[in-house]
Amino acid sequence: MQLPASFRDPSGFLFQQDGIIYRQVNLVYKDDYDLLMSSGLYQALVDDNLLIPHEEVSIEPPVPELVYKIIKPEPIPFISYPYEWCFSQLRDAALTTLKIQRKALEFGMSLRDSSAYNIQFKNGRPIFIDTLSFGKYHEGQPWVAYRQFCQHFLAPLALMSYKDIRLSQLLHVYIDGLPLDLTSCLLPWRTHLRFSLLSHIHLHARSQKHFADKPINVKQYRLSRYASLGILNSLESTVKNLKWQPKGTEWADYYQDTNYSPPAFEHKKTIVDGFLDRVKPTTVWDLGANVGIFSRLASDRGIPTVSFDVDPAAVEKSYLDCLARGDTGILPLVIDLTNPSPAIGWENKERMSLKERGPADAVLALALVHHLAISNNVPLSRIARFLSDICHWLIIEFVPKSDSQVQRLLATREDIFPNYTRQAFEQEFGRYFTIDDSTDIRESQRTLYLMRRIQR
Amino acid sequence: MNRVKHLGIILAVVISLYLIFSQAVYASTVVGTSGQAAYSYYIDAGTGSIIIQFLIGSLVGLVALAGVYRMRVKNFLRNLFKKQKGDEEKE
Repeated sequence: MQLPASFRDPSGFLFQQDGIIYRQVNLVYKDDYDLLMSSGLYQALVDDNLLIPHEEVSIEPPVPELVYKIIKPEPIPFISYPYEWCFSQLRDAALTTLKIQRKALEFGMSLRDSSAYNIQFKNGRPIFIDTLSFGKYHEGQPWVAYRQFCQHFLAPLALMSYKDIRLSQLLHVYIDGLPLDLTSCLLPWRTHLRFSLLSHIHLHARSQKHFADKPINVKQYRLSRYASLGILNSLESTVKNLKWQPKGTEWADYYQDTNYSPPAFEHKKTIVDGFLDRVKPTTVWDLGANVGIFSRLASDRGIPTVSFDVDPAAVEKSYLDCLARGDTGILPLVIDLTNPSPAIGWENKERMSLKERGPADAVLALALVHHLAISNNVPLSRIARFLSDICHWLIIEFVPKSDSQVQRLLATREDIFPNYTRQAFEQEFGRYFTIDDSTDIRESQRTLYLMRRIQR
Repeated sequence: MNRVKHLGIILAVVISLYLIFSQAVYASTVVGTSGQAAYSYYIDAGTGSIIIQFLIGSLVGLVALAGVYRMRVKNFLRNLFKKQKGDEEKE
């Protein structure tokens, strides 16, 4: 079955067979594929962990009349998208793309596209996944993917850095990167004073507008090798100079702002540790993970863990912590559970929804239910149903109304939640899960549950 | 004083770039007819994007080239100086 996201490039496509992802390389890409493999570029990129390794296999091709080769790339444990990445993840993905283009030029090749969707995170670090993106470099050829790079990386990074971190969410709407005219409008005027942003964003947008309806043979423009390297240097220094410093957003300092005493916090960790040891899940999703303290309990056991939070500052901190600690088991992502990533793109099939990327073997939902039920008015029955769709095992914390955190949420609104009780919680979750265990957290009013999804 | 100087330089650069990229200049851009390349694009590279890349590339390419020549001149002078010093010591 051909994957629905893989249709734009005639050089080949991805398909799935018996649960394994393969890529068909078409005859039209033969020369470039052979050059990639024989020039040493493939090996150099793989050695530097910049390109996903693959092996050539001999299986029945889905479209035999077009096939040159079938390759089997190493699998990516969890597919994530640019609108789910924090600032530093998008920045690292941009720098990885530029590093690959620089390396490609050294070997006489060039990237034919620079979509942010060609980057995935494997072992917590960005890696390029589209083996068919490399084309032979012809002397004088401009970088075909320059526009795409500016739209997919530079524009969102500049907006996140100079305007508002939440503007990364525009990538949801604009699947081929942010329009540069829109970016130019939204950026503060002072960005005109930086040559890099003036040229790559503002003047670039102006040039796009001017030439939009003018038929000009762009192949007649020749860019010297010095100019190509100059462009790469300029883009690299622009990206490196874009910074974003997380300032204490609402939940960024959450772990310093709970009603847990140190023994209660340690007790909670011990209970979660115990549940994880009992279940031994193969994958974990930590929902509402904040800076990922509990995700680490799973990743320290060698379990690939995706750590979701709605707060870009918390995710940024979590990612930077992972880099500093050399933790490769956690993938922190920005997700709003009240509006999780939908399926988008052509036929709503190009980019998967969050649910389509599940289920996880186990979900951690710690200090989360009260936010969903009280801040977002989701009935307990609907929370239970959603969680049963995305996991086999559930480690969940119930926070009663008497808890000071819940009281804080209720301080500014009317209490319209008479059914938010422990009894109702157990009853509603009991429709979808069997409760294997429950333990009260010491020195608190909270309870941790281990639940197993009822077979459907 | 330095700040005023820097501001002046920035303004001069901004104004000259705006002049360079103004509509009138775009409109008068003459496109060469030789050197047709033999490569194909599967994505839309964007005419405006190629042309701005060409203009930025010319500028930053010159800077890169100037950097290389600056280093060469510097190395040449350094070698020359070393050679002279070596000759003097021999004498």
